[in-house]
Amino acid sequence: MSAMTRKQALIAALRGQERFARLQAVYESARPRRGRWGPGILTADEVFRHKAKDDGFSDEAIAMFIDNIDLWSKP
Amino acid sequence: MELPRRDRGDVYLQDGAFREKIAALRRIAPVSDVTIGIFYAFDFRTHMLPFWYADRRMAPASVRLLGDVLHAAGFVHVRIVLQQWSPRVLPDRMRLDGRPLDILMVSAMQVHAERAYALVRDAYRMGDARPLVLAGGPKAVYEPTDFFELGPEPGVGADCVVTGEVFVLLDLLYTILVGRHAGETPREAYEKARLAGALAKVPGLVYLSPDASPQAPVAVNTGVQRLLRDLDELPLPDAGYRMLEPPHRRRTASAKPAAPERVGRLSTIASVIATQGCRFNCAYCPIPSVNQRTWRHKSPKRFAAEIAHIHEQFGIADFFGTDDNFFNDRQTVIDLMTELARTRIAGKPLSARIRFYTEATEFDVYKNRDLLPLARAGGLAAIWFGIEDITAALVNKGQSAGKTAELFAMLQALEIEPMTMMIHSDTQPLQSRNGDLSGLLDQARYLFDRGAVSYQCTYLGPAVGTRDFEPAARVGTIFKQVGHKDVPQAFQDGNHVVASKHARPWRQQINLLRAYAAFYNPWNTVRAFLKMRGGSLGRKRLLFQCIGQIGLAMSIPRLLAWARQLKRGPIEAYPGLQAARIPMIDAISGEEINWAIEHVPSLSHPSRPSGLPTECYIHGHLLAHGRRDAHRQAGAVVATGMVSR
Ligand code: B12
Ligand code: SF4
Repeated sequence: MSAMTRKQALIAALRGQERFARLQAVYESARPRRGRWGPGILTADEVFRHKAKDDGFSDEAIAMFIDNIDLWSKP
Repeated sequence: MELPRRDRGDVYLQDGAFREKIAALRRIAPVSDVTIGIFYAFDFRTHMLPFWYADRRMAPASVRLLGDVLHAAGFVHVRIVLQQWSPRVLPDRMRLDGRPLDILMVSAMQVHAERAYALVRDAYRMGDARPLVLAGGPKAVYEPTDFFELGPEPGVGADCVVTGEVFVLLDLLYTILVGRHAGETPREAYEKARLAGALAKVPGLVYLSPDASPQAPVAVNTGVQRLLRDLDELPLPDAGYRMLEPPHRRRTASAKPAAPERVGRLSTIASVIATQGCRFNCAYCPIPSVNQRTWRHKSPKRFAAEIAHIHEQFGIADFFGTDDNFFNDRQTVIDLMTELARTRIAGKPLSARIRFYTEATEFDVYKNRDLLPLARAGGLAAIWFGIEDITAALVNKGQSAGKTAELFAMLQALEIEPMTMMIHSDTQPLQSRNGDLSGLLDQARYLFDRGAVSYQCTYLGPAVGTRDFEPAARVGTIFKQVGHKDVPQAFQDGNHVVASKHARPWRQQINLLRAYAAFYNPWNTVRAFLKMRGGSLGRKRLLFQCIGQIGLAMSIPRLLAWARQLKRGPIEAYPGLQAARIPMIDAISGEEINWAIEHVPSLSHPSRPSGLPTECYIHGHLLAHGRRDAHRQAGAVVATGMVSR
């Protein structure tokens, strides 16, 4: 599957461009930090996962997003 | 407590052993297919005074040296990720030449440990395909078991922790890879070696005992490393600089490392190992024991060649010696600086193109002050002095106000920058009452007036691996929680008051800020400006006033927030010595041991580490039954239950 088709598949799975953009914004803004999710410091991805879940995204949607996002983010 | 050390006659590796091990690894053909990510963990909560300017401008020597050595040993797919440059790169996302990591190496100081743990946890996201996880660096050296059982699920943690220098890594990799079958991953080969007891023969490792249950893990310690005596056996610093991940904000690694011509702009300062060790024995310092009380240095030729090479290849002109006390030994200073002074590149003296900075005690520099002109001729441009307390009331290293003034005047005349490092403590007053120099602020002002270019002040808190630690722990000085929250490891940076018996620790915290402000302030900036025409030192003083005030602006909100938390409380200190979270046993004797921190014993019986040759077990049994003398006669030293081999 090409990167473009995968992106479209992901957007469809996330139920629309708007939700995709929202998740992408959460992804871009997540940075390593200590937060309300645990005593230790979390990686950018762990922070993203927590924030996205708090925003109502399912585990599957988050996992799929992470698996695919690097395909079209800048090298 | 201090780290144990080997028997006097057995401290060093055999000369040539280092290079032989590299050659042996090179002969294992498949090493070139192994992908390795080396991460230098960095916690941004530590990015403040006094190091905010330097911490991102110097690619650390530790991970670069690992890169140099791995390259020499034939590994070609290696990338070094510095979290201070690219903080979001994650091991599970990293691909080198399209392939995921086979080995993840994490290096961390204690203050950066939490970021290191997060990297290890991230690698576990890859499930069965995860890399072999190795941890090293100062955190690992002193507190190896902290890298195990990081949660959230049981079993998440480093596979193996290296408590020594880079030779231990070579020895470990050789032990793992020499028995690796085709198609086996390094992690599978490692597991095979661990279960077979092969790791027990590599001094300087800590790993989980295969015998212990996941519910009650026990760590096995293979003893104190042997040190590399001849530092010239290390490869020339080069490959490590060519493997650096460029700065960015992505989770993934770049297709290529930073181009060599960019390296000098990213890492404007090069850290170089010139000497290692210190002959002093300060109770709050772990350095002499980690070096097993040795004094090592590179040969003059090698030292100069290294600086010339880095300068020519990467365009770096500022060099920071990772020395503990450069003026420790008079002859070494003469030899190294004479060679630097006479080295020429492209027909010009090297010393005219580079600046060399180092650390030394005031006592030793003063004693050898006749060598300062030679050192200047060799390119010495600044010395960081651990003065700690001018009155020598806190620690007496032969420092005094008179010596400071005389030495600083000499340094100024030679245009060598005097940099000062001080320590504030529960017992030091903020201001002296009787006009002497006992007060913190009086000392800061005195140092500025005598021409100090920079100033740093840390709060005395017992460091792990020192003789000060246990007495402080016993009397409940070390904070465990503040405001019902664990004290972060990042706050063990000397900037935060995290151990004190003072009735108002928050005030001590504010004292630190006041001391900085007594040195770095607009008034001193004007004074530095007015004296600027007095040569390059004048400009440096002005520059450091600016750096210091920016750093102060960065630090004030964070340190005031901590002061507020200390004031609000409650402060809960560790009530005496603790049982180890994960007990540690000696690989041979099977006895529970202490390592840099004394714990109350938690294992009732010596347990035999799995897979050890029977001979070792018998040894262990003998030792466990108290016949240590027999073992000692055989040349081993028993320190806190630890057998060195
Ligand atoms: C240079 C230096 C700095 C520089 C760092 C610049 C840089 N980015 O490199 C500056 C001045 C900024 C600095 C600051 C601090 N430092 Co400092 N620093 C040093 C110093 C003098 C040299 C480090 C070095 O390069 N050594 C040479 C390299 C080659 O040796 P190495 O780091 O030990 O690495 C070897 C092994 O540890 C091992 N290894 C390392 N990583 C790994 C990883 C793996 C997987 C493996 C297998 C092996 C391995 O192999 C390496 C090669 O043999 C050391 C003391 C010393 N002599 O080592 C202190 C030291 C590292 N600093 C220390 C401390 C405490 C600090 C500060 C917190 C301030 C303070 N209170 O002093 C701050 C933190 C600032 C920050 N935000 O990071 C402590 C750390 C103690 C600890 N338990 O963590 C040390 C050890 C000094 C001490 N007190 O003993 N520091
Ligand atoms: S003089 Fe410095 S390096 Fe030497 S033991 Fe004392 S504090 Fe440590």
